[in-house]
Parts: sequence; structure tokens; C-alpha cells
Amino acid sequence: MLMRQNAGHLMAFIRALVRNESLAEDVFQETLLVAWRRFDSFDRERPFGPWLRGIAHLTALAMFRKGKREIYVDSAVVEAIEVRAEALERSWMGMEHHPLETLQDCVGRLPERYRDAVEILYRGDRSVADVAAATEMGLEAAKKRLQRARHLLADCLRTKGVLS
Amino acid sequence: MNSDESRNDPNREADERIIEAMFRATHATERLDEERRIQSAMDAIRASEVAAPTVSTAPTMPAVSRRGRWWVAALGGVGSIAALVAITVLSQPSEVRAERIIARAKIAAENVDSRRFDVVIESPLNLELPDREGWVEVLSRPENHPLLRFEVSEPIDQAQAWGVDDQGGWEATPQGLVSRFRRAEWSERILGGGLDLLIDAIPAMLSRVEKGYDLVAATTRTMSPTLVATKRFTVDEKSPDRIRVEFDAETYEVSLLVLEWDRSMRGIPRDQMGGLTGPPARITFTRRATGNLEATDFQPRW
Repeated sequence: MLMRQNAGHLMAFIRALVRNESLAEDVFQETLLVAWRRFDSFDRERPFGPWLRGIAHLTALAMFRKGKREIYVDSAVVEAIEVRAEALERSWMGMEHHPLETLQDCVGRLPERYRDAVEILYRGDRSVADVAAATEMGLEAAKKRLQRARHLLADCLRTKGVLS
Repeated sequence: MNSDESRNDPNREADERIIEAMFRATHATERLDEERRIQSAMDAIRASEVAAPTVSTAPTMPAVSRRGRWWVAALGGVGSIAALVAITVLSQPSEVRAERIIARAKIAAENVDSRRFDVVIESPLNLELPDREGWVEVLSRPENHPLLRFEVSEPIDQAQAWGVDDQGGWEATPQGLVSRFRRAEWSERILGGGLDLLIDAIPAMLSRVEKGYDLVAATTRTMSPTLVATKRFTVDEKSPDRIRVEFDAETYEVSLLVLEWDRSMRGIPRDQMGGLTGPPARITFTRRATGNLEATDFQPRW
């Protein structure tokens, strides 16, 4: 039950951390396994989510080191992700509307040119180059547009209480 | 995907990463993926629960390759080291899963001395004969031999029964006792040894592997932990080509056993076999969902 409650937002945190789907799967599995083994050491007076994400962070770091992979995540970025993940956890578990529904709502509110770029990239499961080609922009311009779109979405989600 | 501008601003980069992660979670298959993820994690947890006692009781054989370890742990007197070299385990996850299944099933088998299964025997595909149906009941195993009774009740004109009682093995038709055989022969005389997989699932499976089967799958992703073994060409023709054993996810007792014969694997297509002498297409044993077995005196009452 605890696993199911936390699986969604935990995976979102891990994905944000590692940005690699197969690695995220591995980190997820290992995180839950470690959490299970160390559950006795978990202070029940404290929230479960941050404890779980702490394990995920350490697991990801260990996997990076083990794989000698150059995937450096600045600690300030990790902290910022954690802040957002905490808010995401609350909304994932407690809000009337699921945060992914809210995201969809926010996508609908984007100006058309941003919305099109996002839809192509994420819904179509395409590359930035595909976005550039479809919107007849240069690659860098497409990157900028997508970046701007994500920031607008983050602002929208903050407004709706999904992110802090 | 994020730009240098974002890299210099942790908050902006965090925003981008979180948004990307959320989009990932909106993929159409995410719900199924999440279920699979959770199931895998639960499998890993269960595996970790049984791994320690399994390993600790295993014989020490440093020369055995890593791929063979779970067999070492499970053999426990029913196999030989030589058999290990003949075993094919396709992947490391399979090894871990198989180790878990075997460990749990062995423990479960020690605590169960009675079980009953419904049996369906499917005729060869080219023969338009009705399936034969019946049941098998196993009570206990004094002196290492089971007391059991296997009855085919449908179709009525093919009704027949086999069993093992205090005096030994027996075979009977509705008209009366046909023959008796030595108790030690029960495994070969009744269903060509298939019943041993119900009675001693894990030792019997390991024994099969010794004699020429490859373990090709061990899955715990479904509700039923499952072992599948396929026959190599060297094994006698009476043996099934595929064996599938499913275990109850809670108790790890055998819940389903399927034996399949497929002559086409040896170059003789099943639909060209003809005659009644060949093996059936499939025998399925399904654990009967009852904890109260009917009283059976295990006498050939015909």
C-alpha cells in the first residue's frame, strides 16, 4: 500500500534526478529494496516521502559512481528538485485533481506556439530536432521555445499548488 | 535539453527536470509500467527475504559458476554437481527469481501433506476425442512414498483409476482391479511420472533438469510465481516437452501444473502422429480451491 501510494511521485523525482529512463527504473527498484531493508530505522514521526527520496538520491549517486558515468547533478539543483518533489508528493496524494491532469490543463493554457512544440516533443515522443523541423525553426530556437514552455508550465503548476 | 541559462539557475533547471519527469509520467503506458515497477520491486523484496536463509544453508562449492548457484542451493540431495554444467539459465534475473521460487516452494512443501487437483488430459490435436477429466488426491508420504489416488471420471466409458495404498500401487477400471505394482514404481506408472511434479515439485523439477531439461523461464511478475522447463532432444519421448509449474503467490504451494507434448519439436508434427499410442497434447493439474479434502480411504473400491 505504501509502495503504491508513493510510486508515482517517487518515480517523478528519480526521473528528474537522472534523466535516463532505464537508469530511473533501476534506481526506483533499488530505492524500494533499500527502503524495505531499512524500514526499521525510519522514524515514523517524520514524513515518509523525503526519507524515500533521500534513499533514491544516494542510490542514484551510487549508480553513477558504479557506472563511472559523468552525469553530474549540482547539489543546489538536487535541493531544488527536492523542494518541488515535496510539493508534488503532496499534490500527488492529496489534491482533488491529479497533478498530471493539472499539467494537462496547463498545457492547454499555453500560447499556441509553445503548446505545439510541447505536444510534438512529449506527446509525440519526438526529438527536439523533430520539433525544429515541424515548426520550421532552427534547432537552437526550438530548444529555447521548449525551455520557455517548460518554465511557463512550471509557473502554471505553481499557481495551481502542484509545485512550490 | 536544458540550456546553459538553466544550468546556471538551479531553480530553473529543477523546474525543467520536474516538468520533463511529469511528461514522462503522462505516457499512455505509464499506468501499466508503474504496476510492473511495483511488482518488480515486490519481487525483489521477496527475493531478498528468502535469499539469506537459502544461501546460508547451501553447500559450499566455489568451483560452481555464478549462474549455477541457485541450483546448488536447491539441490539439497536430489542432484549432483555434474548436473550443474548442463543447466541453462537464461539470465541473472531468472536465476534470482528461480532461487526465490525454489526456496519458498521448498518451505511450503514441508508444511503440506495433502492436496487435491482437478486434472484435464487433452487428446492429441489430430484425434477428435473428448478430453479426459478427473482428479488426483495426495494425502501423505509415509516411508517416502505418497499415498495417492488418481481417477479419470470423464468420459464415463474411459473411467479408470490408479493409486498407491499401504500395499503398493494399483490400477483399476470400473469393472475391478486390473493390476498391482510395486510402490516404488508409482512415479513411472502413473501419468508417466508427471505426478511427481505435484507431490515434490521442486525436487522433481530439479531431477528433470538433471535428466535433460533446461529451465527457460522463472517469472514472478504475474500473480503466480512460475517455473518453466523445456526438454532437450536427448530425453526419452514419453517425457513432456514443456513443464510449467505455477505456485500460489501467498503460500508457494503448487497451484497449477501443465505438461505439454509437442512432437513437432522433434520433427514429427503433432498432427501427423496418428493413433492412440502417442502422448496427450497437454495435461493440466489445477489445485482445487478447498482446504477440506474429502475423506478417501485410498482403497481400489471398484
